[in-house]
Amino acid sequence: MLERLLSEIRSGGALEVGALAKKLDASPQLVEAMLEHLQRAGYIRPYEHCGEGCQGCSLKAQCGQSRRDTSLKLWQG
Amino acid sequence: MNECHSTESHTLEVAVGAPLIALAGQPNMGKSTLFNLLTGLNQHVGNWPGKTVERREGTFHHAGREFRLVDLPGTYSLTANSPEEVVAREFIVRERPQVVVAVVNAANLERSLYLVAELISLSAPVVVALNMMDVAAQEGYVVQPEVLSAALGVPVVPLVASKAVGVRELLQVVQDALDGQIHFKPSLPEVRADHRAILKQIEGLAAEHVPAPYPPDWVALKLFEGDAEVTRMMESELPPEKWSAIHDILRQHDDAFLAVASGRYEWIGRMVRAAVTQPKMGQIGLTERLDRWAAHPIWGLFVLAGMLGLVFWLTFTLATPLQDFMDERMIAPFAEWVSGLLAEAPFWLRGMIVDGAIGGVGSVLTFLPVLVIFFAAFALLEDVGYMARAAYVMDNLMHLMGLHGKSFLPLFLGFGCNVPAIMGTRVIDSWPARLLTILIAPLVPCTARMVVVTFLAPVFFGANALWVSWGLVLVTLSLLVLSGSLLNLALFKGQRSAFIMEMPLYHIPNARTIGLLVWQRSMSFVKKAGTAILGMSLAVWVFSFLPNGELNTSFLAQFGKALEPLGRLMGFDWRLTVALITSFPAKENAIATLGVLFGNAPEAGLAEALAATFSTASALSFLVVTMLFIPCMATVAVIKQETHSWRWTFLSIALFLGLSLAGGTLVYRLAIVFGWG
Repeated sequence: MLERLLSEIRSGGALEVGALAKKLDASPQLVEAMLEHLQRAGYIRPYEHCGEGCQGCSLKAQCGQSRRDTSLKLWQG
Repeated sequence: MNECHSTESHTLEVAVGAPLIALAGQPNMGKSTLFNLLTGLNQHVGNWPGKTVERREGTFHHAGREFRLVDLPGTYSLTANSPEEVVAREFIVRERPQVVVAVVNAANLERSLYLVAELISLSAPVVVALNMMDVAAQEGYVVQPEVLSAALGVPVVPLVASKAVGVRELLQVVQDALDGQIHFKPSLPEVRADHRAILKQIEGLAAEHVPAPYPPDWVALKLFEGDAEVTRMMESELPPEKWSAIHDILRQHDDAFLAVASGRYEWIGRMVRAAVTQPKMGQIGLTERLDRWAAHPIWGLFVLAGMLGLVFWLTFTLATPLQDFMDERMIAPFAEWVSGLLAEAPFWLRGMIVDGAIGGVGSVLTFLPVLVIFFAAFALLEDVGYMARAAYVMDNLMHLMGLHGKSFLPLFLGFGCNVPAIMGTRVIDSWPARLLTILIAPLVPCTARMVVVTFLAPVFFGANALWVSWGLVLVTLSLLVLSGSLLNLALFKGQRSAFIMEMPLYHIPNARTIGLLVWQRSMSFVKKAGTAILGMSLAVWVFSFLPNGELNTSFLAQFGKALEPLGRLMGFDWRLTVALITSFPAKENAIATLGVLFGNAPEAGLAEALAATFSTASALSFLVVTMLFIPCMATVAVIKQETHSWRWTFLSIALFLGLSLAGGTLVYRLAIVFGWG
C-alpha cells in the first residue's frame, strides 16, 4: 500500500488525500498516516516556506503552526 | 489507582518484586496524562543513561499491590530514527517489562496503531489503552474495543484519560495479564508477500549470532528495514562472510523498508476496517458533495472563476456606497475644515497638508471599506476551507498546461504578496527553473494591485466594474499559465514533482478568525498609508507645487510631460503617467498620486474627477498596465536578494516594463477600434 502511494506521488502533479484514499481503497486517515511516515523517512517534505514572509499569504490562516485540526496540510514530493 | 501519594519526588522506594509496567505511545496520545493520573506525586524525572531524553518513572497501587511504571518517550515507531525510539525499544528488550501498555488515539487509530504493530512483535505482553474515546465519539467514529481486541489478539481497554474514565478497568486488565489470566495471541503484521522469503533468508543467516536478549526474528526485520543501530550491531556480531551475504541481499532489495512498512499499513487497514465505523454523514458527506464540483478539474475552475466574480460583486456592491460616503462626507469636509484652520498659514503649508497629505492619503483611505469587504470575502473563503480547493484546481489547470507543483506553491503565495512568492521559490532545486519562476512570479495579481483595480474599476466603469476586474484577473492568470508552460517546456523538461494536500473539511466560518484576519490586513494597510503612501503623497505634492505653485508648469508636470509621448501610446496624459511611475514604491501610490493631482478639482470627489477626465479606452489601458507594470520596490529588492544579481533584477524590470507597455498599447488601440475612445 505504501509503495502504491509512493508511486502515485512519483507520478507527480496535484494530489489530494481524499482522492488518493479512494484510489488506494483506504481511509483518508490511513493515507495521511502513510504520508507522515514517508515524511519521517525523508521521501517527501512538508511545505515549510510560509514562515519567512507569510504576512500577505492567502494560505496563512490555514498553514504553519497556528493551523487548526481542520486546516490545510501540504507536502511536496 | 494512586492510592498512596508521596511528596518525595526524587527518589522512589519500590517494594522488591513490584511488577514493571511500561507506558508506550506516539506523541500526543495522552500517555503523560495517564502516567500522572496513576503515579500522582510518586514519580521521579531524570534522564535515560547516556541520553538527553527525559525518563519518567513512578509507582502506583492497585488492589493492594504496588507497581512500577515507566513512561517511555513518545515515539512513532521502534526504528532507530531518533534517540527516543532507541530508548523505548532498548527498554522493552533489555528491561523486559511484564506488561507494555500501548496508549493509542481512538480518533486516529490509523496513525497510532503503527507503534502497536511494532510493539506486539517484541516479547512483552501488550495491553492497548484505547484513549480519547470521547473525541472519537464527538467526531462520529464508532470504535468497538472488543472487535479491535479480537482482531489484534491483545486486550483493548477503552479510556478517557483526561477524565480518568476507564483507568480502573485498564489496571484490572494489567493485573489479569500479570496473573496469567489473559491469553495473548497477537496477530502480527507481515512484510509484503514478495519479500517474505528474503526475510526468512536473512533470519536464517543471522539467527545464531543475534546477541541476547534480542529476538532473532525482530533483528532480521530491523536489518530488513535498514535500522542503523541493529545493522551496526550485527555487522560486529556476524562473521564477515555471513555479513557480506546479508549485505548483498539488502543491497539488492533497497525497497525492503517499504515492504515492511507497507505490510504494517495493510495490517492497520484491516484492524481499522474491522473495529471502526467511519462517520459517513454530516460534515464529511457535505465536503464530499461540495468537492464533486469545487475540486473537480474542470468544474472546479468555473467555481473558482465564479467565486472571484462573487468576491468582486460583493466588494463593489457593498463598498462603493461606503466609499462615496467617506469621500464626500468625511474626507472632503475634513479637508475643508483643515483648510479653514490653516487659513492664516502660508499657502505652501496649507497646500501640502490639504492637497498633499489629505488629498493623497485621504484618497487612499477612502477605499478602506473596499479593502475591508475584499479582505473579509477572502478571509471567509479561507476560513470556510475553499482556498485549499482553489489551490488544488489551479494546480490542476497548471498541470494541464504542463506546469507542475514545485512552481505552483510559491506562485500561489503571490496572491497575497509577491514577496513571499519569490522567497518561496527556494523549494525549487534547479536554479534555472527557480530563476524563471522568480521572473514570472510578479504576474500573480497581488493584493495591492487588486486593491488599485478594485478602487479604479468602479470609478471608470460603474456597473461594469465587476466584469472588468474579473476579466483583468483572468487575463493576468492566463498570462501566468502561458509563461509557466513556456517555463516548463524550456527548463523542467517534463519533470513531474508532486504537490500533495490534505484538504480541510468545509466548516462554519468563525467570526473571530475572520475578524482577526481582516483587522490585521486592514491595519497593515493603514500603517502603510500613514508611512510610505504619506511620504509619496507629500513628495508628489511638493514636486507638483515647485517651482511656482502652478501644477501645469511644476517639476512633476515637466517630468510627466517628458514621458508623455510614451504614455500617449497607451492613452495616458502626463498625470496618469506620473501616477503609474509613483506606484513603483507601493502600488497604492497610484491612487494617492491621482488623489493629489485631482485633489483640488472643482468636482465633488476624486472618483468623479477621474471619470470625467479619462476615456474608457485610457481607463482600461491604465488598469491593464497597472496589473502588468514593474513589481513594487519590495518585490524588486527580494528579486535582487534571491537572484544575487543586478543583471536578473534589471531584466525582470525590463520584462515587466515591456509587457505592460505592450499590453497597455494593445488594449488602448483595440478599445479605440471598438469605439471606446
